[in-house]
Amino acid sequence: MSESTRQDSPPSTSGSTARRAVGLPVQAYVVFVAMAALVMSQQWLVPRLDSPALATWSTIFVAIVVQSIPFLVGGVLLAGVIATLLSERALRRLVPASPTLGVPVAGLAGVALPGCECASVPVASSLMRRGVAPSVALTFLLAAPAVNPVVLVSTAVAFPDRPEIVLARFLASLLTAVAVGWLWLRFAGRVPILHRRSTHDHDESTAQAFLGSVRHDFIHAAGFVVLGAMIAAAINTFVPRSIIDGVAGNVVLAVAAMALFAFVVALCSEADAFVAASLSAFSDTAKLVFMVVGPAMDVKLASMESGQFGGAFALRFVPLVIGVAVLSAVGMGWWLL
Amino acid sequence: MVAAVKRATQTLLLAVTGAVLLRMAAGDSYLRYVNSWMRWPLIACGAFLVALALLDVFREQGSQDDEHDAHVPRAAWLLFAPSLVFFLIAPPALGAHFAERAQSAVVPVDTSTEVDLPPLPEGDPVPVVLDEVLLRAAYDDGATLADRRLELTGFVSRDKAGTWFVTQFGMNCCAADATVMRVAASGVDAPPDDQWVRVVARHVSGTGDGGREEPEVVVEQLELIEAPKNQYR
Repeated sequence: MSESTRQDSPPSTSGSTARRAVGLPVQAYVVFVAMAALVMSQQWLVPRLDSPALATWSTIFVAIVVQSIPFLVGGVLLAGVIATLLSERALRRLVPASPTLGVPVAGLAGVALPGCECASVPVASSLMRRGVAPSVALTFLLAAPAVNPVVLVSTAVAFPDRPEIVLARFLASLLTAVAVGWLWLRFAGRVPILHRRSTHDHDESTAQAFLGSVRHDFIHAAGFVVLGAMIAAAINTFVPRSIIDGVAGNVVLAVAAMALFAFVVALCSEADAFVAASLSAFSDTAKLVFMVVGPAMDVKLASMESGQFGGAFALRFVPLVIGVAVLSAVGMGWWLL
Repeated sequence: MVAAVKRATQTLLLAVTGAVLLRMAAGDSYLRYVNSWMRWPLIACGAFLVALALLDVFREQGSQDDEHDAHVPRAAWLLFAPSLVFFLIAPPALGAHFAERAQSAVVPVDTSTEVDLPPLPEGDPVPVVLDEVLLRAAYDDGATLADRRLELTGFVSRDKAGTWFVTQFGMNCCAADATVMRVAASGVDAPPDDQWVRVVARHVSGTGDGGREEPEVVVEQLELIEAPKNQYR
């Protein structure tokens, strides 16, 4: 097993393996000692870090990370299943050969998968690695966190006796996912997407390949979740609420503000309906914008996507998604609400 | 330039993160950040991350190449941050500082809709949660609260004008979406911020009507208490 791995590795790799066998993993020891030192000096440090604003920031920061990680682990497990256990044939039977047809199918497939948005990035990446057209995988990425039953039920709970809001949310999110998929297919086929290779290739047992893929995907995505959580917590803590609320009166400004608010606060899609419902100063259409933009794109997702698919990709994808999401939400709001 | 995250360090990263999640879920500290139903997902997830790290330690040395270390984004270092923040700052449950800026749970009601609120249960004083006070005050000028002594529990926060409030946060998903529920208190001097209190008070008729502002209460008795295990609603 290990013999075959070594033979297949390029020469540079076996060189570094040899070096590693001699030297200890120094970096890990240094990091471990540094952490231990920090934790030991806790008694001394904690009173010096005692400021209400910092405490509020750190509570929200830790809360977003703690809430996201179980969903992220669920996502990387599913991504691992797709990457290693799902056969080419099964995948081909599930996804239509033509991307034009595959896009709406992927959009509807999102209904069946209750996932958080942080789970869907590794899943989409894993689909692409398995040869699914990027536009199809991206449609799934946008649809899965937005139109699944959990999100729709929580929306119905947050807006009692307003089924039209649930319907508008469902249609606007599905429309966003499918429209972005088709636009990407038509206009952005050549935009480079980084395909980060999942650890080693074929010469491993399935179990090892599965664990390797899970570990790789988790390490890749988690840092970006943390970065997004840091920014979202800072916005929550340091931008005065009066600024956010102050723009509610103006129709255009309210829509723009809700889109921006959804982008920066990075709530999980299961919870954003309750927050939207509580933004009582805003119109229903503005609330709909908040609920459609949020699951499709936020600072945490943008951070994860630029890590997973590369900066060139994120630079095009992020504004495209926000633009389409705002337009479809406003359109739905005008039609249904 | 930040160094690439070596494989052994990645393993440490997984182990530390998993251990912190387990530590949080083993005690009550996870309740400061997320809902109580998150306990088992957190335990499962923490155990999984620790197991993933241990598997790597016991794997035969040399069968791993370090080639893909180069591809691990340097952002992976940031995964140490939540663990360090958890241990060093030990973030408390949200308190008075955030109450002043959080989204209010008070939602204006459409007074034209017919709502038939049942009377408060028997008892004097009758224990009521803050969201119920807000709801009852919003309809019919708070008719169902009239002439009743209410026992309210919450922590102390205050606004810029110096009014103090009996306050509690409601949480849907995690502390990031906390909404604040509070009633303005008068009649006694305010205890310090973030102090948990149990008060016996009467609702000031007409305040909080329609859900556009906080209801006011006149406090008759004030008792300082320990913070509850789960400080959110």
